Amino acid sequence: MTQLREQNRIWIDGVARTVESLGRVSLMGGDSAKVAVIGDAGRLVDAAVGFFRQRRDGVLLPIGADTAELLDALRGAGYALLWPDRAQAADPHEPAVPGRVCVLTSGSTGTPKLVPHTWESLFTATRVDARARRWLATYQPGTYAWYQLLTLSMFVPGQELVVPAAPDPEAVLAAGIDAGADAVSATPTFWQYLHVRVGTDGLAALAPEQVTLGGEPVRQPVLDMLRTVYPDARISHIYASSEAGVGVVVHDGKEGFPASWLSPSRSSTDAPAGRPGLHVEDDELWIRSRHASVGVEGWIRSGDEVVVRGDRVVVVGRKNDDRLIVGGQKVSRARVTSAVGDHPLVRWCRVSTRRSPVGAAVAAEVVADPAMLRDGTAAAEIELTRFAREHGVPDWAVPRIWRFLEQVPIEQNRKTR
Amino acid sequence: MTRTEIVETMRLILEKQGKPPGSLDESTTLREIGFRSLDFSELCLRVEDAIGRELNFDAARLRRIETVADVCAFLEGATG
Repeated sequence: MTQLREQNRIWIDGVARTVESLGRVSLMGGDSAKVAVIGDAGRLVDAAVGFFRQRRDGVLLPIGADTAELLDALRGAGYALLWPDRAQAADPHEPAVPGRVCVLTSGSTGTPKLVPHTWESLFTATRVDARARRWLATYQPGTYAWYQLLTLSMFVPGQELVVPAAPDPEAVLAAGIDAGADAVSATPTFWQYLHVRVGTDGLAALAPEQVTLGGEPVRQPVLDMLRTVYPDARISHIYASSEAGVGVVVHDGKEGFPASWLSPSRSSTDAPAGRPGLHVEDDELWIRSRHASVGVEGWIRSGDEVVVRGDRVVVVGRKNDDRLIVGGQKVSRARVTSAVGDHPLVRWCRVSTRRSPVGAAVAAEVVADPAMLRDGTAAAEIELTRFAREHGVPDWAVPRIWRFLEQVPIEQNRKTR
Repeated sequence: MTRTEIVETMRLILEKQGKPPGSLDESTTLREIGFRSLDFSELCLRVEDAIGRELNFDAARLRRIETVADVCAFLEGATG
């Protein structure tokens, strides 16, 4: 059983709190209620520690993500809804399963859903190096990646957490700088957005020794950008999913993971101790992890598409999401996005199919380095079209409509759709 | 969009596809310049973006298009 490190500090909205001071407010409904707590990041940290202390069966929902649809879904699932800042009305509820914590998937796969975990399955950093760190919490509260950081500061000595009050990335960065955070875990989109908004110098005001990427596929251009900004930091990336748990942690600064980590078949039991089973079948990654969610055992399909490049296996996106279909031909959106995103002057991109009255065509939204737009958007379109062709995108799937955005359209979950 | 703007958009589309037309006027046939169906889809989407709404047209007219002038007339009709 994991044990709280009561003297660890968690910085909430600029104020240092010990773990000992958190999670002391009794949650409504008695021990028998499943409870959904809705609040700001600080309230949710307090509630999460309370879940642990009181062996409560709960879920966390940040303000802003508390849509009527989601609240109805939580009520339907038997949760008593709790807003710590409001007077409470009685809510119907169902009996809880003590010690269970439900994680909200962050929505990149569509409608948010609840994935049941335990504190044991959420706490995966059992082999973290012992160096004291002050982590900047960038993920949306209540998501799997957010619990990864929270459990680190709850259960590992010397691991502190900085929890910014405001959700926008600029405020998160400022909170990290103010609190002297020396470790950051964030999505690639978080970094891409901030790189465009505040530039290399703005990012360099933070001085992390550890930079960890997760929550989305991690591509080489983002790793290279972070290496330039933080030349002395250890840069790691994690592949994980809410259902399968943590799959892969890579520290060598290269996208993907070594192909030698793959098991040749799903009957294989040859994965080394401490590393999950990994297998590729029909371009999809399969995982067998001891950190999987409740009820998940053995190999599960990740739903993520991978490509093998040389000796590396690279996750490029969701396998069955938004296939691009033009003239009856299909290609995965992730493959085209990935090819365009490899251009050295592309900071972010997203592709989709657009329908015209005479047929469909692929469209792309791009955030480009200003150098790409120096000669106008027409020249940039010609260059990107050439690049996509030369990087293996089939002729019919090369984007025809290019829209150049000034900033990365980041969602509340710090990802892009 | 004016007819001139439509012709210039067609020129851009062809240049982007690596097949710049030597000369392009309203008498040029689509076959001569290799203006394919995907190019036409792109043109329609660009026109939609320019006028801020979706095109509305008669599919029968689409089948009779042979020249740049036909394209211009077709799109004028579809945006009208």
